[in-house]
Amino acid sequence: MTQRITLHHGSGGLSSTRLIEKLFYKHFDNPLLREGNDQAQFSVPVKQLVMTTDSYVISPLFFSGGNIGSLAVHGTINDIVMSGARPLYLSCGFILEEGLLLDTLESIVISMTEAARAAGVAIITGDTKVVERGKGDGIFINTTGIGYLKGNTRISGNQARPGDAIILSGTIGDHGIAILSQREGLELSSDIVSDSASLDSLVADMLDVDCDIHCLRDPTRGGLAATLNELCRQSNVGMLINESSIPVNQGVRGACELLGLDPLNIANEGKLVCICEAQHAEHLIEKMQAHPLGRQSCVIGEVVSDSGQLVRMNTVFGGTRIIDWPDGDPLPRIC
Amino acid sequence: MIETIAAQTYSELIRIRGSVQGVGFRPLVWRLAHQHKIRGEVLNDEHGVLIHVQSTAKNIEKFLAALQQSTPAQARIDSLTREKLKTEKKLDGFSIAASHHGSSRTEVLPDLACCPDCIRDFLDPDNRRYLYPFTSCTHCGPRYSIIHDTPYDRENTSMQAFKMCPSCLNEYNDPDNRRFHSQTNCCPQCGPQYWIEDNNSRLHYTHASIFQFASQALNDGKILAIKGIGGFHLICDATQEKTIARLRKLKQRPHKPLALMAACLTAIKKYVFINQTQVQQLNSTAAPIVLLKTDGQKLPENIAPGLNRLGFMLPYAPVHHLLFHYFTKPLVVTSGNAASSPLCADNHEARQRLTTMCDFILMHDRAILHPVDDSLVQTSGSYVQTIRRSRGLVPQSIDLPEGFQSSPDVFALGAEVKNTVCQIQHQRAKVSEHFGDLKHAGIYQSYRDYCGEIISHAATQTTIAVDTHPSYFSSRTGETLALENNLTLEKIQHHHAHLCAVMLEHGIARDASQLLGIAFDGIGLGNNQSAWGGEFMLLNYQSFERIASLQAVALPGGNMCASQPWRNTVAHLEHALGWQSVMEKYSQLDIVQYLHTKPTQQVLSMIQQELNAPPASSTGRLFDAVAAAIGLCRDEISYEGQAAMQLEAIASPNETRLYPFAFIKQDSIDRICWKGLWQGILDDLSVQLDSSIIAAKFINTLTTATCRMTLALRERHHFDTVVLSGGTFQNMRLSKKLYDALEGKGLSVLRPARFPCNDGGIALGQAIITTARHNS
Repeated sequence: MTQRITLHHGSGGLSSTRLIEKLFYKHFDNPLLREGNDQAQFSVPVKQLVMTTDSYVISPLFFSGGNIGSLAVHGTINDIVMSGARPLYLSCGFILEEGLLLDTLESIVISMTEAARAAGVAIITGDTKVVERGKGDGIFINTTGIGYLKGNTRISGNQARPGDAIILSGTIGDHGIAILSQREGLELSSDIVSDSASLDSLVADMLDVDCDIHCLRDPTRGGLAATLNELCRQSNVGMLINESSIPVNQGVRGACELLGLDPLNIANEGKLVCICEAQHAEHLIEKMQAHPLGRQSCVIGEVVSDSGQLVRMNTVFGGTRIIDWPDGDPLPRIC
Repeated sequence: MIETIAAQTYSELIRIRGSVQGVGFRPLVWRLAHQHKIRGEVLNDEHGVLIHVQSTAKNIEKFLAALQQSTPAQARIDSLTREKLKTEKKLDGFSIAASHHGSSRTEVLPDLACCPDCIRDFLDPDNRRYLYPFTSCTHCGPRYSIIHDTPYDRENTSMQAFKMCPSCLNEYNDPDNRRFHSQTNCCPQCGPQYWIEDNNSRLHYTHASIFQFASQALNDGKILAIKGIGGFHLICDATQEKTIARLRKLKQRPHKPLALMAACLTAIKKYVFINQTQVQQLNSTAAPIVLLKTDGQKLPENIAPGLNRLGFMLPYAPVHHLLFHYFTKPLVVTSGNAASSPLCADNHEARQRLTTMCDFILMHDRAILHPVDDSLVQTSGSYVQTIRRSRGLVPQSIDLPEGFQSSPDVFALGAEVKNTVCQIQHQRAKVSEHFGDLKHAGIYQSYRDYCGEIISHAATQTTIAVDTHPSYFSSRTGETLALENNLTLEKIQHHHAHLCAVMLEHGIARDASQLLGIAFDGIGLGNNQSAWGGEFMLLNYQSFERIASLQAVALPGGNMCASQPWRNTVAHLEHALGWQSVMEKYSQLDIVQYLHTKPTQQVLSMIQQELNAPPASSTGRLFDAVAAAIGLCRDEISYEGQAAMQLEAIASPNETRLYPFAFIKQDSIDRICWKGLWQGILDDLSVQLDSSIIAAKFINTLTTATCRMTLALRERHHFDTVVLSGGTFQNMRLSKKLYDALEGKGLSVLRPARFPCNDGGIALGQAIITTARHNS
């Protein structure tokens, strides 16, 4: 069958309902969704809620290590857990382009389901619109997430203090380069796989450690460079990192060299940067390394006092270079 | 009756502005006042020199005439104004009064090379300054590098720490002594001292014998860090190839040419050819490094790999003369810093940063307040081009041309690499010392501190000027400064700035009719986010119109193309002839074979898919492409311009042939198309023509194409004057040939001279454009 999305699927009529029931209910299946209301009703056990939203536009839709669906779930869950919260629910809005294969849509939905289940999160409400052929890129997805905070967790981008250690949970650049490696003729190394993953369980493990975590952030668009610069600005500090400490997969390094891109500017979808009291870093890293998503965790530098809010990097050549905010996105539309 | 009137006493205030402090101006006034029976006083203040005179009208006139006739060589009088005072009581004698302070408008002098009188003093065993390396007088010595505030008085310099002994004080107070009011006056008893440490901060020698010791160490192949006028140098014996290799390794500077110093002209002439212009430059008080053609005895190849010129300077500080008093060979004298770090000028810093790069450190206890690198110039005939404008040349300012009389204050932040900044105040433009590449944290730090300092003293209505490139660190710094201080921000196109800097130094008036500018360089941001670097523009100070350019060719890998010349060869061959056809017809060529070993297919895919492969009309990358094609610097370069400089160095001087080229329309402007050039180069490579001939034919082609394009444009646009700028014009063969060709066609050609054609000149251009746009 090569059934395709038509404008009717977004009309709100029978076709829409069929699509929702045959595809979304079938896979996302959970009691709140099954109620079939225009909204989901639920109660929460705590006072402090966390909410985030993100839209996903990416070409190609499928890439080594995931697809737009798994990415849309991982990305939003990660934004929730970077506050130290437990994720609870997701909403999901689809904008489909007329002509999209139903099979394609189903694979994406299945990936979303699997990604959400793995993180113990339910997709409890959603929406579907269809745009005319040529007005979309196959599929756009928006997800909104809700989570809750336990106790007095106070993790925020403005909490970095001079002397803090900067921890990175693993290699950088894998996601962005995996997307590029799909391009024809580039023949990039075949072992470049997107790191797209939900970081909820890694963060949960980290929160179990008795230590002061000041900031958590996932270096997505703009890469590690953008994330570190954001944190410096929010906390009014500077950072000094060491190039030799930052793990980069060989394939990614080679691809970056070829393409003239800096791994520091390339997007990640399953890594986190953690800023904590220096004295706790070792203990925290031990715990992180025990988790499959944190095996290569390491300290990459320290927070320093600097009213200029500069991120500086000791290079492998012995100099010290300023790590600037990336200059726009060198790779258009990758997440 | 007439007698009485003539003898009547007048009082006047005479105000002199310009470079009049620190050059022995007040002592001169004192002497002339005594000669001409003038009573009153002279003093330095924030405006320059103020003279209060009382005498007969005749004496005052004679005095002023004499003063203007005998202005000291280093001084420059910009204006002299006179104000009559009401009758006052008779003054007693003539004296030099204490300086007045206030917001500064007076100019600090550049550092001045040691004068012959002082050299005689410290080489004379009977002189009390025998072998004393801080000997100076009103005609020479450090100025800008040791001053932190105006007026130029000892208390505003780092000489403040040294109280003059009675003998020095006598000289200081003796109007007949050339050290009369010399702010740097000192001697072994009261002044700063040198000592020598090893790289574990262990003290070795503190007395005069350090120079003998240093000389021996140099002979033994040791590397010395030595604190001089503007900072530390790393020095070693220029005849010892192994030591030079070691220095390069320690400094992480694999290829960039190293500067040399030799005792005297005769010593330099052993290795290079020197003409009269070059002699003048070498002997000037700025004592810059001068690039000179090798000729005669050979020095090790690793001083300037792949090049046919050596950069020599003459000793300019007493410490250099004292080294050459014992050491008889030329020295490598390179700036005291690792590649990508700022010049080291502080003792503490030197112990931290330089000890890994040297065996001994020769340091002194006088602070350097403004670190300044050595300046660098090259010449062609009588044309002198400044490549790096720093020690001995800064902070000299330049007058704004006609039409800028009511100019507002401007602070321009320059470009990214070879950065300088420029301030316009009181109708004068002052360009800073050379900072360097701002992406290096240490360099950026000094840059930002310097800019912050300027803004804190600047007028509240100062306009900030930056490059249009949004991610230059200078642009971001400027934007922040403008935002924080609520100042107007002006964004200036890169090549427009290059060209206007040259117009300014040639005194082109503000409302002069439009000129044709030719800006050739690596990359600068053009309109609509495109990358420019081979541009023909009609311009005045306010605006420009791009009317022609080189054809735009992809930069696969973006900035990577600036360091890997082979990428440009791929892009140019693909663009001009198509890679497929190159492979079919020229598969046996060395360059094609070489490109097979590189990820050429992937680079071609990047170009086809427009993946980080923006098109650029860059002359610099064209040079890289040709250089790699003929076997120069194919893989990687380690300093900016390396491939182009090596190509210039090998180009056969007598070759006159050239390759075909064409003019086409692309994006509605005229473009120079290089299809014929590339066809020709590949054909020449096929018949194994020597690369020196191909290099020369290429430069000839670029010159001729540029000249013909100019003439073609002249048929449609009105201009009589052509301005040349951009880093590519450091290529003296291109510069000279194009100059001669255009002048030969009746055009007047302006070339960059006192200010660099590379990005070191950008700040000046930004400043004058901003001034032009904001002039009321």
